[in-house]
Amino acid sequence: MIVYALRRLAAIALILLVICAITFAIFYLLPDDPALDACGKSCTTERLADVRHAMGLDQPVLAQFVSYLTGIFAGRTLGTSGLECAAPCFGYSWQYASPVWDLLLDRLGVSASLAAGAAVLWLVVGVVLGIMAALRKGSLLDRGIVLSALATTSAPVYLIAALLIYFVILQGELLPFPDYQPVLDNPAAWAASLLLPWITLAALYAAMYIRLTRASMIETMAEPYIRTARAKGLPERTVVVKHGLRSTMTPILTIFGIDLGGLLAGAMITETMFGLPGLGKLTFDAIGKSDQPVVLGVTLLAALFITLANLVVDLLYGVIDPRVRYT
Amino acid sequence: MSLLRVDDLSVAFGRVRVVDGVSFTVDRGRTLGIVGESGSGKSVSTLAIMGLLRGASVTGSVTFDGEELVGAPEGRLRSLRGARMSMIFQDPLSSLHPFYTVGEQIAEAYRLHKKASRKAAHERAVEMLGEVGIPAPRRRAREHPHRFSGGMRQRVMIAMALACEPDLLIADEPTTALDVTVQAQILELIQRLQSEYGLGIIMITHDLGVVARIADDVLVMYGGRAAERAASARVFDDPRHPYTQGLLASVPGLGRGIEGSGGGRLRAIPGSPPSPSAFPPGCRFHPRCSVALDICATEQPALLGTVRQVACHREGEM
Amino acid sequence: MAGLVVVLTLVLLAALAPVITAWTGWAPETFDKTAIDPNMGGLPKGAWGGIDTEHLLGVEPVTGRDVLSRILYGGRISLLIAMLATAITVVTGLVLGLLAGFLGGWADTMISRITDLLMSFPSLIFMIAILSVVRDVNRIVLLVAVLSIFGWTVVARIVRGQVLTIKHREYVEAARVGGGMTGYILVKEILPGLTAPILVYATQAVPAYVGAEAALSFLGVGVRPPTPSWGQMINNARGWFMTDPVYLAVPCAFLGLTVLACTLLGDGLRDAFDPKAVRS
Ligand SMILES: Nc1ncnc2c1ncn2[C@@H]1O[C@H](COP(=O)(O)OP(=O)(O)O)[C@@H](O)[C@H]1O
Ligand code: SF4
Ligand SMILES: [Mg+2]
Repeated sequence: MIVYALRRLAAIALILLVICAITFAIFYLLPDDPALDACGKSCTTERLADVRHAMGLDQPVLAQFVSYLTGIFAGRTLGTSGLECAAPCFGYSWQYASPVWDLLLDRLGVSASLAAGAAVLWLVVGVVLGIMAALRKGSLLDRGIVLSALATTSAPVYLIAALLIYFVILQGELLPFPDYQPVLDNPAAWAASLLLPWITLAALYAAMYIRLTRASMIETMAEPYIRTARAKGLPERTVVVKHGLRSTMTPILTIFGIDLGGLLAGAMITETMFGLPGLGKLTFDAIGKSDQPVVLGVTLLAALFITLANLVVDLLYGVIDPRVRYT
Repeated sequence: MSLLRVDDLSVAFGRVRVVDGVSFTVDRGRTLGIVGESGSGKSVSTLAIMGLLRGASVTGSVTFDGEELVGAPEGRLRSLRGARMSMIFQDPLSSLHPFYTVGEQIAEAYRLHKKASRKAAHERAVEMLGEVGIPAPRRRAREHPHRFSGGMRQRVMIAMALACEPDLLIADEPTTALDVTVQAQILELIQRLQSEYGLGIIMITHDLGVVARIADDVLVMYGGRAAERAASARVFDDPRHPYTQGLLASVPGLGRGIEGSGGGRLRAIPGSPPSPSAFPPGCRFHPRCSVALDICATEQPALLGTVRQVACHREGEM
Repeated sequence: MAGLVVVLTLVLLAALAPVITAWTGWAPETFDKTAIDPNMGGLPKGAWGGIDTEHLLGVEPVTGRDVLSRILYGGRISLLIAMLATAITVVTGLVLGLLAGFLGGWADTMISRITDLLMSFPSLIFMIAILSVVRDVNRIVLLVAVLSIFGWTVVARIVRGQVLTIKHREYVEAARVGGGMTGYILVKEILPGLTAPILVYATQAVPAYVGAEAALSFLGVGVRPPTPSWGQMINNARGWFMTDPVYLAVPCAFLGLTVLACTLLGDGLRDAFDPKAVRS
């Protein structure tokens, strides 16, 4: 298993390298000149050249790429500007006048808080409701749950966010507009600022998880081994919890890992709607301002999360399902 | 008193009646074979006895050791299931939980019904694995089902079913999914355990060879009804129902009582069994019966007789 | 069934946009200064976002453009993009899946490596990045292209699996009969089996792409004004929803209705193709 994990890690490194190269190439090949933005409004040709030189943009693309890669592991000096960027150096944002890595670290807390809280909510709500619906398949309760899940998955995230903002913050004045506080500074304010974003994200995912869990549970409960468990005289609770749930949760786990991995790098729309200063908002702003080092950094970070989440899920699979062999 | 008495048992899913008025008895230490093509209601009948059918309406009477089970509270049935009556199934791999060790799965019922400790139950599981002929039972108890071969898995199922020393074992096509040699071993094992524990057994199969081998009595089912019911020897030596005759004629070396079948030519019954939603009127076998009369298409034949019972309008003349 | 009716109605409405707007008399770009209240910062006159007999779904704040007309024309764009992207992913997936299945070997390896790579890509960020950098290209073409990059892997995997199953079966059969194996037989056997899963995939892909187009336009990198699309209307409405919530609700409702109807249609199709699922 350790050999397997190491091999997977090597594959992940390779994938990240390719993603890095592709993203790098796109930025380099496309006609957008970051120096132009960094140079400012009253830009002259000479100044632009200076800026390009300072940013290292006049180097050949391969040289830039290599220095970017070395920077990640060893740190580097940026162009001729004399700016030191310590390892891991993911470039420098001229927009924020800060190394990208510091920006990422700074914003990661918000996005991770958002993702983690929402994940807990949607997992609990989605799985519990999904199981209730599956066990009472065809009942009024089942129909109600399935219908509301369907309606919720169809509702665009903007609408959910807007409705929450409109009714809870504006009309109800139950909460102030989100003003993010780090959890360690003020846990109550942290939770208050994230409550609506959590609900927004969780609503979307919970609806999907209800559908998934319900389908998976119905399938599991039709398995012959469930009949065997009943034939042993086990109480229905044991049949459902011990024999049914574990199998039901395996496919859910895979999707959960992928969803969570993807969200750690920021929920762009939710963060934008609520003005949360997370990675999603950072990306959104950076794209608007052609702050390519930031976009590249977020892309890599997101890819890292996604691939690692996949690996963790695959390893967990082996813990849950004894039939899984790592090859 | 019989261990199990089933009287006029009917099972319906919604408006579709898949089992219609079936009766039989099983005594301690004896084996009843239920035969019939796939879809004739063999599994449904026995699942109804165990109280394992969900969403079906079960009528008639099932008396187990003097106690009525139809309409009995679920809690009562639960305390009998796995303790005094057990069931094993056709596909041992999918019938075992893939995520738990076989030891755990055998111990589970023992712990529940015998109020045994985890440790005692595990010991029992190891003992049972040895009993059903699995080598190195202590080590294998800690392995998962996918590590066992088909025959070994069915042995595990048997160990699981017998861990609490039940009185009745229902085996639903336990050898269908197995190789011929393994089939024979499993049947031998079941017979040995039967004499050891004094088990009453219901052996469901569509393989007459299996019935010939181990059944004392035979119930032949067709389209959810009993076609013929008698002691095993009678059925094989002198089958009366045209369907039974057809079944026997299609098995090499069994059709002793049928003319023309001695030559080794096998004749499968033409056509296929009816679906419960479209049972034909009259005798359900009449569309496939080579000796059908006019009355067969309209009147349902009653199951008549004492030592042997046959449901056929031509019974008596043949 | 209800899903199919709604989907067809939406498509029909979008297709007939010019006819309908000719009848209502409001083109998507026509300003109606009489419908808004300059003293209220350009908010539509009347409650409910200015819904009245003249403007059935209200008007846009400030400009007074007819929302119904913009929804219809926006729907054309949104649905067009989604359907084109779906068509491209299906065709690409079909071709690459067939190649991977038939050729095996390095072609198969290549394609599955690319699939791995794409699945590790943070697709939304990547799409936004491309869309924001590429300037002078038709936005609709660009959107379709960018959306299609990631979708085909699902189809390719289905197709590849199907090819391998049938290839194996045909191989066994051919070996038994002693004849050769022809591509013709394979295609004849394979394509019918693929109809069901691909149709189901398409009913899921179309709403997903409608949603993705909306998200990208919402984030400001999708369709550019003055061309209306639902996502772009939502983006516009974002700044107004506190004072004119109906303006946001209308395009959201159409977006939601499309997703809902397609989901219902997809579920219905899946049940129709899988008799086991219906019975249980
Ligand atoms: N849960 C169910 N719902 C509806 N019909 C069922 C159900 N289970 C079994 N049946 C039907 O009852 C008939 C008898 O099935 P079964 O007892 O399994 O036959 P077999 O003799 O092969 O064991 C079959 O036609 C089957 O389709
Ligand atoms: S009743 Fe008639 S149709 Fe039925 S088995 Fe007897 S002869 Fe054949
Ligand atoms: Mg059966």
